[in-house]
Amino acid sequence: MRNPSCIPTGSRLLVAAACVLLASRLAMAQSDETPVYGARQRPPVVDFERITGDFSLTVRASKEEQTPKTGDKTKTNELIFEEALTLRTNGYVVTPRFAVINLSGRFGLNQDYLDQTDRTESTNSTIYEWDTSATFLQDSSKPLTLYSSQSRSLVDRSFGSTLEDTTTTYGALWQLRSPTLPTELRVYRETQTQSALNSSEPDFNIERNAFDWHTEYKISERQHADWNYHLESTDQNSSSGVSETSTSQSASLTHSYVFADKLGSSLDSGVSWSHVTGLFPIETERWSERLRLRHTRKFETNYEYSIDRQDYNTNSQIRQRGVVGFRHQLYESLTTIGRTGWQQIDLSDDSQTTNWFDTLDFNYNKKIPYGLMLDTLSLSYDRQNNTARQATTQVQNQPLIFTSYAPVIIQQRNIVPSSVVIRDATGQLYLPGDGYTVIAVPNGVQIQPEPGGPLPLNEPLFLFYDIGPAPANIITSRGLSISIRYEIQRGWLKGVSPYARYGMIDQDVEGGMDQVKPNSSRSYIYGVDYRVRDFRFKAEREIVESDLFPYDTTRYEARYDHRATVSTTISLSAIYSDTHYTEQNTEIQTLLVNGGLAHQISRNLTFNASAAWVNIDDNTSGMTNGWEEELRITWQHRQTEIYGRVRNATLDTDNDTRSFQFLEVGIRREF
Amino acid sequence: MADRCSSRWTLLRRIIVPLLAIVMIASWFGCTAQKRYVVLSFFFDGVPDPSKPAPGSRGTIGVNGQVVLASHVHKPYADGNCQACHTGGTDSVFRASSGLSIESDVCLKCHQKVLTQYPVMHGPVTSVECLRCHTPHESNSAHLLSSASPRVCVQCHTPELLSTKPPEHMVKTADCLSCHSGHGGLKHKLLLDRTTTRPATQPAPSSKIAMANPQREKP
Repeated sequence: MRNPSCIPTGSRLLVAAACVLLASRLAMAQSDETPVYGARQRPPVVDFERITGDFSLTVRASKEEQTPKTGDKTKTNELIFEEALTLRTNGYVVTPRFAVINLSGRFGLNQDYLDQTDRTESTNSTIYEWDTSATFLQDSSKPLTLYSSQSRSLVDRSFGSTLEDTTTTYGALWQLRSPTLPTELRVYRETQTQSALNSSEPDFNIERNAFDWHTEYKISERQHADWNYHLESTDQNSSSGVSETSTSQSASLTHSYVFADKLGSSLDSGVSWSHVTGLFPIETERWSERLRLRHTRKFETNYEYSIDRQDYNTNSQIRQRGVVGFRHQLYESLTTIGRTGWQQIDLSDDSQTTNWFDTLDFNYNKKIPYGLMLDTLSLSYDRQNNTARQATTQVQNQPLIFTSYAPVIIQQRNIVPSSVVIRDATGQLYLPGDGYTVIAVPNGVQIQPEPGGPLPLNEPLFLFYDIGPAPANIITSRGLSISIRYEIQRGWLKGVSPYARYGMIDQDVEGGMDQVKPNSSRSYIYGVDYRVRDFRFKAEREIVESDLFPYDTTRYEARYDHRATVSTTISLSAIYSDTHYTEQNTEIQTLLVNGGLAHQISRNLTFNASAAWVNIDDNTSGMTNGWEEELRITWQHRQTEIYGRVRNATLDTDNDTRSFQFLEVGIRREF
Repeated sequence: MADRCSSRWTLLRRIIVPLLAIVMIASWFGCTAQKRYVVLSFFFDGVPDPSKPAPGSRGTIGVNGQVVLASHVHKPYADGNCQACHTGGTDSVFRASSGLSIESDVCLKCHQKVLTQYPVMHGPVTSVECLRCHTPHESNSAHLLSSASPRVCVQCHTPELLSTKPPEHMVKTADCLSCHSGHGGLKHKLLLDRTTTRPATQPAPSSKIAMANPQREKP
């Protein structure tokens, strides 16, 4: 971490490192004493292995430009020199059974020359990173580990700039290695800061203090119980305007019992409680039971009941849900799954939602000439009786994942578009405009991720939004879905899988005062998968004929991952989608192409090259083009390593053009 | 739209109901068990063949209709203990529901030790890729290999990339396991000691190797 104002702290750490070195030297000197024959050898009280480490010199240069279509161009150039020394050792105090210690530290100096459009400055600062841990009584049944680390890394935003990420952790872990009651307690404090290379102001900062308690209790061979407790206080700020201080507590107790029959019927029970404060305060209590009876090897029934209470803002709701289902297997070909259920939600404004639902699914597969046929038939019935609702309800933690920059539609009646926000798995909050846009569409919202933003692709995200008031209504839905897929496994068409799916929902609405409209739809999907060796291809066409929000989409995906030789790996991928919203007469085309090559030229020399291109053509908000190229080369000879990295990212939108170039060259010598 | 819906429901009833009726009639009122098997097998996989041994017992039907016993059978499979490896219930339930084979991790439930059994380990063993080489039910090759050596080895070790120094590498039908161990060993390249003979995946104890190859102990 570069911290110009904390040089004394860095000095203290340097002194600490010197003390470790001295202690290690003393211990070694002690072991060099002349031996006295016949005398019992005394092991040293503190013993460390020989100190290893490395010395590195690094030069980083970055250039960032932003050129608005109207207005002045801004640019930032930065040149950074770093000289750092890393020391590593490990050892023990008294005996290895009492305390094992691992020490690693990186200390150095940093010179930063910054040249911006309106100012030029240079700063000197220190570098200090560490990774230390001490484990006490590691061979006992109650080991205790204390650890602390601070690490710095560079994070590349797709089609955007490179950020510096600094994570500091302090923690303790206590384990009880009991055969009947294994327990783990962990308390830690973690601070994560991300900032642009050419900025001392953090782009994002989160502080987390947490305590975890996990205990398992093996009551008998057939019964066990789990206890989990989590307490966390979080404080986060970002340059996009997020400022949240929150506390969350959660506790859960689950019990599982496997019946003494040979088939393995089971009963799972659980109670949980959670309390969250912050921008989305909520308190939840939940009790659930699930009974699974296996009558034969081919037939089982299951019974579920749950009740939960949620308090958020000024509202509260109690939800009860019961489901009865069965599963039957006919030979190896036909699986039949049926479920019938009921759900009732009582809100604090005296409104109520009662829901009856039934589903019947047939999954059929059969070996046929040249391959396998996989068919499904699903029938569903759903009746929802809603009394007039005055209050706003909340939806929290709805899973969401972006696999490309294509828009995602969230279908939900009365959703409040301005209430939609996204969190990632670490709890970091992203507001609309901070890497994504939210557009209201009939019966839902459209969420469009933006290249160059902080939202990661292919990682789990969670949606939070409000559902507004609605008049009394009764919604009845009948659904039918049929799909067929032919997997060709032999012959010259091996790997080809054509498929088609037809879905139908017929919806009737009684009441609703024209605010709740039926959304009957027909959807047709047809496409083909092709897999041969390292190559995969998918082409798909989807047509949705909806009363409220009809659209059609064409998707193509291709991927090639190939290990050409022992030392060469090639990966290429392309994802294209073209979505046309019929009623709105809007069309969004997105194309994302990635390529990578990793090659070991010789025993000492390796290089990695990657490139990416994104193109988004939206006939309402304009065109976006992004390019990204990166090259890494590493040459290693014995203890010496020379490394270099070049990265270029450009993003061109209708509003502005942003470009970022980054060069890093360094040498590291281990000793 | 409601009219279209009702016409589709009618069409559905006209197709599916007679189809189901044909299946039920054919299966329940077939003349003999063998004929019933033929009819049901047309619609379903996994219908028990009355001429085949009961599930769980060893053997498959050969081309001449005779029961051919596989020479090596995994014990849980022979015992009909499908739940030892499959989570979906019986083997048939699992396969029908997911259409995918099991993950190799399930092997570690019983074979955990093999991961660190030898000082030099074969890559797929340490990365728990058991099913690259082994078949979980039955096989005619020793150690339940999915196919005999060298076929099982050349899946990854392309013959063209092998060194040409040992003349055996030039012979396409040479048995790799006569010189190399499958899981791991004490030597570089998983080489077996040529003076000892033992199963491919069971290297001799270290003491035996030391005795058979005394120069190895010299500095």
